[in-house]
Amino acid sequence: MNYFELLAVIVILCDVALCAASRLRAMIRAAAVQGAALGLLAFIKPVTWEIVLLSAATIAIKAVLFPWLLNIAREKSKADEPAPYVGYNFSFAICAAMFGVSVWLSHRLDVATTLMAGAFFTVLAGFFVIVSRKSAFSQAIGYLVLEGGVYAFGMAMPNEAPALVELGLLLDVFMAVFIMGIMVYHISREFEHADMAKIAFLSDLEDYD
Amino acid sequence: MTAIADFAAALLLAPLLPGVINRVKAFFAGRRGQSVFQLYYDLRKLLAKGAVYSSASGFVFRLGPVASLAALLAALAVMPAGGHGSLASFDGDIILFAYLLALSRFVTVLAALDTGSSFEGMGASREVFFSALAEPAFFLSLAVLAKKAGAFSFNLIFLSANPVTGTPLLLVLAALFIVFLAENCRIPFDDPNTHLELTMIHEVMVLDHSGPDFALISYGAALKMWLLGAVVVRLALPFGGGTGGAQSPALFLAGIFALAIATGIVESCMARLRLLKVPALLLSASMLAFAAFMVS
Amino acid sequence: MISAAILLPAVAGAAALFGGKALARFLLKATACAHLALVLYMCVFPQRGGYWLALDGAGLLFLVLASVLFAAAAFYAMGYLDHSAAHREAHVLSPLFGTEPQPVFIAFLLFFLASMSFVCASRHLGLMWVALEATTLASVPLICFHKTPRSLEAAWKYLMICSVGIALALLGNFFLTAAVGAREVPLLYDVLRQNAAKLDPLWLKAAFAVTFIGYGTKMGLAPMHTWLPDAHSEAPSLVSALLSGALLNCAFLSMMRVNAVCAAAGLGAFSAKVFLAFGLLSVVVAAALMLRQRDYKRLLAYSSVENMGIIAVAAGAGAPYAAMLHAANHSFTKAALFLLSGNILRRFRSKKIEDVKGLAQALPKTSFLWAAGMLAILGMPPFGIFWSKFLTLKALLGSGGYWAAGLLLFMLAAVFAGVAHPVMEMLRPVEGQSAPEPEKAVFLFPALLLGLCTLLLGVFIPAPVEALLKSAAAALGGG
Repeated sequence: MNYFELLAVIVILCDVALCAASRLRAMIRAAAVQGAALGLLAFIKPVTWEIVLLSAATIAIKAVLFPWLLNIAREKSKADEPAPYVGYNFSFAICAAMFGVSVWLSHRLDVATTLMAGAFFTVLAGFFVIVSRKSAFSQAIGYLVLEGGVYAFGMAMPNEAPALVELGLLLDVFMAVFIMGIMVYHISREFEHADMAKIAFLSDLEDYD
Repeated sequence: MTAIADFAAALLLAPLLPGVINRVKAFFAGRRGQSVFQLYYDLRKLLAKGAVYSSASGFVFRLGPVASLAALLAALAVMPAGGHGSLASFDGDIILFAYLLALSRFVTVLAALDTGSSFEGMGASREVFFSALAEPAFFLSLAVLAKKAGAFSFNLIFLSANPVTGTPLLLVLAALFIVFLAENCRIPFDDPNTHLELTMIHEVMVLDHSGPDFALISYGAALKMWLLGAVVVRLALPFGGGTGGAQSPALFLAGIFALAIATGIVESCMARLRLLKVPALLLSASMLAFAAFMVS
Repeated sequence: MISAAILLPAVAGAAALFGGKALARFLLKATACAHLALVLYMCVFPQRGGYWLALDGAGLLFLVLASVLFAAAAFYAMGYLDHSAAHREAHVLSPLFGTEPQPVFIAFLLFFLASMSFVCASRHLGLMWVALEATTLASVPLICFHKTPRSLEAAWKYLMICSVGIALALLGNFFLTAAVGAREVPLLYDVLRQNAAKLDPLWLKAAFAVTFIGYGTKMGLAPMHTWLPDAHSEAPSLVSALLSGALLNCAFLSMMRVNAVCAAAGLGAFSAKVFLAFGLLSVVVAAALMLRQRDYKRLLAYSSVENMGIIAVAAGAGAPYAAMLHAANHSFTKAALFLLSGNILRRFRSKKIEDVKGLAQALPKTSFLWAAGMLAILGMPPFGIFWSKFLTLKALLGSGGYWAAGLLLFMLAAVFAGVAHPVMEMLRPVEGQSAPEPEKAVFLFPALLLGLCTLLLGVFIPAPVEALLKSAAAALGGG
């Protein structure tokens, strides 16, 4: 049994769970499981101490630290629903379509591995969650997942990217989600909710104030 | 000859499955529970009774149970629901199998609608809704098997030298297990124990059937469980590839009763899903099968 | 030496974070001056780059721009922080960063400078991505410095849209890795250009498309510009000046790095078309939204979208020199205008054009600079933008893009109408306007100096500057 393929499938299923989740808690959990799977996926590359470090850092940050921070912020702001623009069951259909597109893409680019399709799918799923959910939380989670997809793409590539860049990338993502967390905290404190659809003061068209 | 033996064994042993599930649930609830042979006693009792027909219902209502069971029996003929090959086999029989199951449901639904009762109509509507969602998952799973074996026949698929393994196997098994629970109206989709509740699905449809008709329906339900269970079991357990190999009836029986025990455990551990959540679970089964299709 | 340009502000920023108010203010001024001196030194004595960091002409040009703008903004910040401290002392920036807002603001300004220098000096495309994402992260706390609901919304939009865009650019980087394949070419832009013929064209095309969208988001090209007017109008004015004048350039630089590889690989025709299309679309969208704009900071922000569009058109028309010149001109002019808009905002306490009346009476010196700056940004001679727009149009006509040139001219006329009318409205004297208040030099001189720069570029380009612009154009060359 090919364990990396299994991990890739776990990544894919986490995306599905993410798109269909009707609770922020479930979304955070799906993102965490996915983060752990992504961390283990690093071993698809020839094992060096940098890869071990990358894997450990990914698991520590994506599977432990972020879920923990996001859960704290979620409990503080008492938010629980991702507040979708698109219904959950319809999200499933879109999910299936996106998965089809990713498989097609990976075939088109001549690297038809499960992981490659999964990477594209994860990018698309992250995008979808960002644009189809109103809650600032789910947008932050969507960003995390989107970035996870790009990372998975790097893992699916046969050649090696320098581990220094990978670690810098991880640090950036860490800071990004960290700052997003702080922003969500401020937003939910200022507005007493985190529904970005209701936070729309800035517009060219209407007479705001 | 062995196929006939398998067929006979399925006919004989199918009513044991609900009994086993009930015993497992009783065990988890800390009760002794009814006998595993309870369904046999029920069937004998029901067959001895006469049937009551409402003056509002017509021949469709009488036809329903018989036609339903007939479709299931035909399905059993193409399904290798034992340790060996199936009674009849041709290229494309997996599609026939799926349609026979659908036919059996269709006549049951028609019979339920024929009573003219709004309550049964509601059950029929739910049954159709959920099965419409379960069918893509089932078909996609079958597609995975057919793709891998390069054949549309259960015999060739299950005796293929190139069986589904690894990740796709896990995905298909998960999808098929969800379909198995949904089609057999088990928790988390439907609670077979709750009569006269507004949330139940399958049991609502058959409320008006009595006596021998109801016996046929109960027996048909057990047979359907055996059929769908056989798909899962034949996939999950290593029945040697090629034509030879270990075609062991004992292994199959162990598998199908293990499946019944697993179902009992699931039922003991889970509550029934909210009706609104059911589509999500069935759609995720479809996604599992779809992922398996892409991966395999 | 090159790494010092990054480390200096980064270390100073860290020190400011933990030091007091006085130390932070000192560090801001000292670092701005030291950074500028360092960068000018590197202009005179070119540095040999290493594996990760290197400064070619383009990197150096944008580094100079960032450094000059930062110096101007740093001195403006002294006055701004005094004023803001006098008016809103009680603001809490964040529970995680202590309660004193000034050092935090200064620290993030310095981090912002460090990250922008990092972008300009990166030789490795992966590292450049890391640096560009760092600019986003360093500027978010600056945008929502005051924690008003509107600035929070703007900062969130900025963070989300730019991060997602940049994540796409990262995907582009991986596509580039795929284009390299197993050929063992590192992702260094100059090495990639030399080995461009060996790259897989399909992957390279995909890489360019994704990177263009990603960095184009950050650069503010339509239709990915939606964050820009919000962020630029809600940020404190000196931050807007840096965002518009320095940060957009950094994104453009990153985009051009990838473009140069594509051009070397023979995909120049394809990438030029993409540049032209998005550039023209940006100009059209910006012109449409400027015509009835009621907020003067948003007006400036849309003007940035428009000018980024012109830069992209220049790049697409095969006139990298015009693009470089326009980038420099736009940086100086727009930064000066944003700094001045801060003066107006402080006096009138409103960003609405209709609330600003009798500007010439209330703030005579600011209003003079404001009018001059507006003329400059509209491309009036003798300011530098006139020349860069002229060169762009010339290149466009030279390459046969008559329709594109016509559209561009028409839209520039629309922009003229969109800008001229509100400026006249603001300047028009009204009766009963109170006597002019004394205007502090600290709020005027940075803008004045930046304005003089663009005037200089319009009247007479000194030989060293010309050489720098030319070497920048050559470094990005090709398309």
